[in-house]
Amino acid sequence: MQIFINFLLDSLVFALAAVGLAVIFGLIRVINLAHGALLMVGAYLLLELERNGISFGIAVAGAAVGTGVLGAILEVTLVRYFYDKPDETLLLTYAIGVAIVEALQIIFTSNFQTVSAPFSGSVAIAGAHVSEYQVFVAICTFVLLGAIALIVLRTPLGTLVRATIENPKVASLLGVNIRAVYRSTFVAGALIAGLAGALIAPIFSISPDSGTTYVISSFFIVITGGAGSLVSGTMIGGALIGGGSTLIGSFQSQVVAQTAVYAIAAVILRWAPEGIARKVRMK
Amino acid sequence: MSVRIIRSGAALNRRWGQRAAPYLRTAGASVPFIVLFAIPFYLNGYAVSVLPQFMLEAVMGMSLALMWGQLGLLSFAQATFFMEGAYASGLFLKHASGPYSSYLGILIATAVGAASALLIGAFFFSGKVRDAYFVIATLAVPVLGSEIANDSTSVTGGFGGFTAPAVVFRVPGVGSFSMTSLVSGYFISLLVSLLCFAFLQVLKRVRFGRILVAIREDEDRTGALGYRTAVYKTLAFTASGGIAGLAGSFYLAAAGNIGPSLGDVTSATLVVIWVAVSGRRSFVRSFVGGVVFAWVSNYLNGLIPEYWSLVLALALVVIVVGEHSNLRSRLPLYSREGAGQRQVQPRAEGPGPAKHGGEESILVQEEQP
Repeated sequence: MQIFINFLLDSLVFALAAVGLAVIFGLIRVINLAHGALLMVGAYLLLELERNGISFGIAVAGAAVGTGVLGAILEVTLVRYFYDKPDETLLLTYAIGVAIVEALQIIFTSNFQTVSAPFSGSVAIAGAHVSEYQVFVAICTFVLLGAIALIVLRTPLGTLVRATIENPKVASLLGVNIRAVYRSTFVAGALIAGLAGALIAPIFSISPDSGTTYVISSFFIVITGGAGSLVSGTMIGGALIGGGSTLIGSFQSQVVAQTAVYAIAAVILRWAPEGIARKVRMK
Repeated sequence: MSVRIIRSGAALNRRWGQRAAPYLRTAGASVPFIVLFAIPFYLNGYAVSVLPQFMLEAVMGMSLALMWGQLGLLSFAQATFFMEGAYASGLFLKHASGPYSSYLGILIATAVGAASALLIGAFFFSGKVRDAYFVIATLAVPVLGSEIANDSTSVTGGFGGFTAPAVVFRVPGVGSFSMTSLVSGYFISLLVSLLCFAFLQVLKRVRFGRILVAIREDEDRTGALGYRTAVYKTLAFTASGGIAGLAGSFYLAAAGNIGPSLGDVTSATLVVIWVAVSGRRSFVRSFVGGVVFAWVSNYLNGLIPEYWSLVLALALVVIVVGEHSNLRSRLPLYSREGAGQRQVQPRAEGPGPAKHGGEESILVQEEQP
């Protein structure tokens, strides 16, 4: 039972980390390899804000906003020129990601740091012990995904975004400011990444480098889950990649778990490149 | 120089320039190797002792240039193939004996690198996986590779490092050449670099290389012409993996000691940046750039590692932006393949390949100055 709970919680943590990428890659098809760096920006912003005495809740919000601002700057100066060139976006965002990580290393040093969780202590759920904070994060993930699903699927704004992405030319003819739509989506993705980074930070000890693994897993999550399927895809992907590695990691070494999970992801990538969610839906 | 001659416009000059160009290119390409050959006669022992490693790392850079410059597919896996080759030959030599075992070790290293690349390449390319997904998958290779190497302490010595047995090459009738001796180690590395360079240049000029370029420019069209692009891509990746593995085995012999960090994400990133900044379309440039960058990295890593990496990352950003914006003044720095190449460059302005149905291009059109 403990394993199952861990599986669930870890899946959600990974899914949370991936949501920002799911938004950017799933909606505007930008391969944002800087995603891991953005996660870390959120984490370190939280660290700094808390160090200056700001309470956890506000610090998290601040971290999210700060990362969103960074995303906005990046979009306006660099990324928006590359929307039609996915291969170069990849390299560009990769370079940006490396630059951000190096900057973080200069500012914060590459030592691992811990961020204190707002509440520690464990709770017993169905006989298994889980940290309260992780449960909190899990709930946050659900709320976030629910909010995104709500906005994208039920509000006029969401419909606007989806329509623009599906057919930018017609949208612009109808008077939609497509540049603004793409920009806001990118910024939203960055903001969510910062939020995720800040929320996840207390769970693991962080270093500027930690984002790299998350980028790869986030991409695998989004790709295997299904790019464009923001909620179900991310959840499925999270369960597969995050939960899967926890599951396998509980009776094998971490390295074996990681390898196995990546191998499974590669297989899915090869045979169902549209992702599992899509495949199921198409049936 | 030949580029300026071609651009001068006068028909006579153009003809002379075009005929002279290949010879000038060969002359230009041989300069770095001549310089490298001469170095041990003029410079002190330090340069001679470290250059072999840098040359071999530059060979790894050339293998990336094959994938990225010729085929147009970025790969983060080269550094890991390099590391695999190093460990493979080292492990073999630890258990093998015999006068010619060092040659066998090299072969095994090449085979290991090539086999890994073959596996990965065949798996992905046969499935017509999108290029971008392939690149992301290669990003997972150094992560896994270095983790596995780190973890298998019994085999690789883990983080603590792996010491190479002495590597000696026996040439019957001539003598024995040891990699650890200053002079022979240097010249062996130079020879290896030269041979790999020659191999890659030949590959570039024959039909195989031209098809790679065709795939780079327009894969669908090349496929429509009847070429099995998946096969060519796999072969190219295999070749690049083999070369990286080969270089890795010599690197182990030259450096004497390696660790899992040789094939991790940081190393992979560094290679990508070297090759990007020095010029991925040309093997000479990526080789020279590789040697220079390896040297500077080595030197600065002792001093200000973070700042140096930051500078490199920013340089990469600048380069990517520069390429896209299509600044005419930058083109001659990148490609000497002549006017035909330049005409193909402005893909952004054209109707756009079918990748996105040209729909996103509307965003870019607004931005054009």
